[in-house]
Amino acid sequence: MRARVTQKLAFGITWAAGIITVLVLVYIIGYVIATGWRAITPDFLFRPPSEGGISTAIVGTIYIVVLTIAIATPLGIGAAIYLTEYATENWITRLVRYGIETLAGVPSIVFGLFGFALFALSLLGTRCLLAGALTLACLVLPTMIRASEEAIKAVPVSIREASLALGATRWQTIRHAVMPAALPGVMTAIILSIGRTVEETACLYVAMGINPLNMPISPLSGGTTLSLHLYYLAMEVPFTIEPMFMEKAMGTGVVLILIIIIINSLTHWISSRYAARMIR
Amino acid sequence: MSRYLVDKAGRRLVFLAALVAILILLLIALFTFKEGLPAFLKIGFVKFIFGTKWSVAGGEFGILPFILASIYVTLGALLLSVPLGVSCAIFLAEVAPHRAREIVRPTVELLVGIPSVVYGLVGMLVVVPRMGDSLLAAIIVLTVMVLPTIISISEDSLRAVPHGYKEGALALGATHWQAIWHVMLPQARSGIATAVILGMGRAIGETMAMIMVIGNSIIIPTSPLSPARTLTGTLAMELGYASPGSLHWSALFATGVVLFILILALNSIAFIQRREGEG
Amino acid sequence: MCYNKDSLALGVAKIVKLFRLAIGVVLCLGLILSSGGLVQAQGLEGTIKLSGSTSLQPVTMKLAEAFGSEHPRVNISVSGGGSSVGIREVDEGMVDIGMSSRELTSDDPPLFIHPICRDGIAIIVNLRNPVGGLTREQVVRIYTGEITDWGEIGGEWEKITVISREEGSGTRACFDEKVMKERKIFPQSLVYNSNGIIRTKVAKDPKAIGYVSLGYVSGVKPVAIEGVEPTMDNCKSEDYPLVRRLLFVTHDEPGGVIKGFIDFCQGDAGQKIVAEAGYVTL
Repeated sequence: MRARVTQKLAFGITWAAGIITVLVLVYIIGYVIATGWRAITPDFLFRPPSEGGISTAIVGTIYIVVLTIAIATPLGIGAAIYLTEYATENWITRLVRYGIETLAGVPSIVFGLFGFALFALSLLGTRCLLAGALTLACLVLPTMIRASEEAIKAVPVSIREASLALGATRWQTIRHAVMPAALPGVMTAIILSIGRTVEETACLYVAMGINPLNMPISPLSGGTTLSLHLYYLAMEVPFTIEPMFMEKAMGTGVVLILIIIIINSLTHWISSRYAARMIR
Repeated sequence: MSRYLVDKAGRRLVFLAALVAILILLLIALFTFKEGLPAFLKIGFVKFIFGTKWSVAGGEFGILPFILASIYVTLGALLLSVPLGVSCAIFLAEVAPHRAREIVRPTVELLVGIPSVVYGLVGMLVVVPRMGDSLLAAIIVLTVMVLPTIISISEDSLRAVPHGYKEGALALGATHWQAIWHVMLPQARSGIATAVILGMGRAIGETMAMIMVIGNSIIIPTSPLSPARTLTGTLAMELGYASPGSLHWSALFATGVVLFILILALNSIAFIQRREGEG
Repeated sequence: MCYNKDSLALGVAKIVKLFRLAIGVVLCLGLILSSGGLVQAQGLEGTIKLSGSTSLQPVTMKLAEAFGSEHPRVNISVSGGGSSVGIREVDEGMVDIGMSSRELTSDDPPLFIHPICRDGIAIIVNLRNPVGGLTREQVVRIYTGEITDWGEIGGEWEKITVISREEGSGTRACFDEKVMKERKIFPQSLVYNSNGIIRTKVAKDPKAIGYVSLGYVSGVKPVAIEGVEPTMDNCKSEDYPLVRRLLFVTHDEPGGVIKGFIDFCQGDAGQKIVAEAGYVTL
């Protein structure tokens, strides 16, 4: 009897937790939309910032996300596979894991400085989209690795054993048995990384700089992203140059939220098409 | 024969990936330590950590106020976000009806992508007028920012617990909740610890939103309603003005080193939790 | 569980195709949206890179835009980072022009200075605050913490929220130099790192006081200092004391496209844009 009461209580708490989370999000998004919807006009979306729009920022954001994820995903998932499947579980791997998690706490500004020194200054010679993408890839790497690792580790040993028993090699087991099973968790890793990329401001500010004027064509040109532009509009533009700076900043936010929704939905869709082929 | 080659190639590939990843992370750590070393040497480790005055013009660099502020804010945010986050994760994994999950989970993933600036702005316009620029305002904003990470990874860990465990518990007569609390959560301990660690990392490293709601006064915070400045806040606000190689520059990087050490310390606690959970 | 090699390969192929598609779309978008500039062929040609003060960035972009419409083959990119960053980068050759909102000191490398405009700094309070004017001494004592309550200087009895810029900011340097002189701002003051934030804070908090560039005064009340209002005319004649120069700095004597741009900014057309942007002409 007591157990039932405890259960009701516990479930009540979890329901409350779920509702609170949704309410918080609805509030934040609602605030952004309420302040920013007036700024969303075709001019705003398709004209560059010199004419009061955000076209360069939209293109810049897509560019950066594609580049960053293209770099970070193979590195991150590969490293995760190695750490869970191949490396022997000794103090070295534990140290490495420890190190990776510590890096997750390094403020993005330090990544920005590092990226600026290594990629922009030394390697490429100029602040550009590629420098920004490389820096961001470093930033999301810890999350990508650790979250993927957890997903792969959670796959039951029985699946691996069954595959090997059927005569598959180690690599085949990973590719065809373990990875599909770990897919939902790996997708989470990717989504979290994409989210981080889209919203990152401080790091890109140092490594790439805000270049709102130019439409980015090559990865070596400067550019700006929606979050950088949001920051710029809300913080740096005087009223005399842009009287609607707060509305436009929030308008940028609305566009940002839409893009995140699209990317997340896309990732889920790909993942579910995949999982649909796995019939229990 | 080719199967064998593919296997070898595959193994080499992921090894390479792991190597590159670790190399990058090592470089960043070395870079920060290298730039910060002169400050430790010139100012003295103890004087730097326990000094309470930070003045660029005066050449004094003591970061105790920042260390305390960072610790308070991070612990405060964790205290709020871990129970809330794990509860929400349990909700999503076990309790929620299918349609509710369909709404809440994408919601959570959406929260991750919202820029810190937006959280900072909303915090500045909505939270601060109620309680002033203070630790408390910062804790609330941070909690909201860290929540999605904790929820999504914890939920995945719970979902990954093999059904057999849960069904076994139920078969033995446990209620749904008892199965969750006594069987599933301990099993998911490793993943939840990871979620907390990643969330904690995010909390300590958060800069932009922090700067906008915490006041950034260089004082030792004595109450949750007092303004303060975090380690990351100082780094972010002053880095643009320090010339590379100067004492100020080095002191800022030394602040980064201290951040590293703090994260290491906090991680150790969680790490131990996880080791026990893997038994 | 049923799955097969083909589904895996298919899935991977799909993702790869999607990425290729995304890159292709981005490139096409970029080409389409930028093709507008390819048509005319007149005026100067070249690239100009600027970086530095965030105070200067918005107005410099307006200037760059106007210059760009007269000389469409010139590509100008404007980054931020702060005055010190701009000075450093132009010294190292990473950019062509550095933007600075403070004068060069003996710590800075020797560079060529090109003043672009002046900037007035207004001390602002909330719109609901009855105080409309202060003496310099009163401001100093507020910022050193000696005066803690608005009631002491003619307002309602409320504790003053003192807001300042961060050390190193050009705006703060001007405030320190022209107002505080030798006195130090007390550590309990709130510190924020941009004009925009300070403006918003003061607009939202009836007890707040802060200082921002003239162009950011909206939704807040600027106070007169020693009886002088911070208007454009008072700043031009420097009757209002809190005025500073905003500069471009270059590594060498500027030539070609760079000289063209600087001349434009310092000339009538440029100064007109500067005035419209809320800054004080030279």
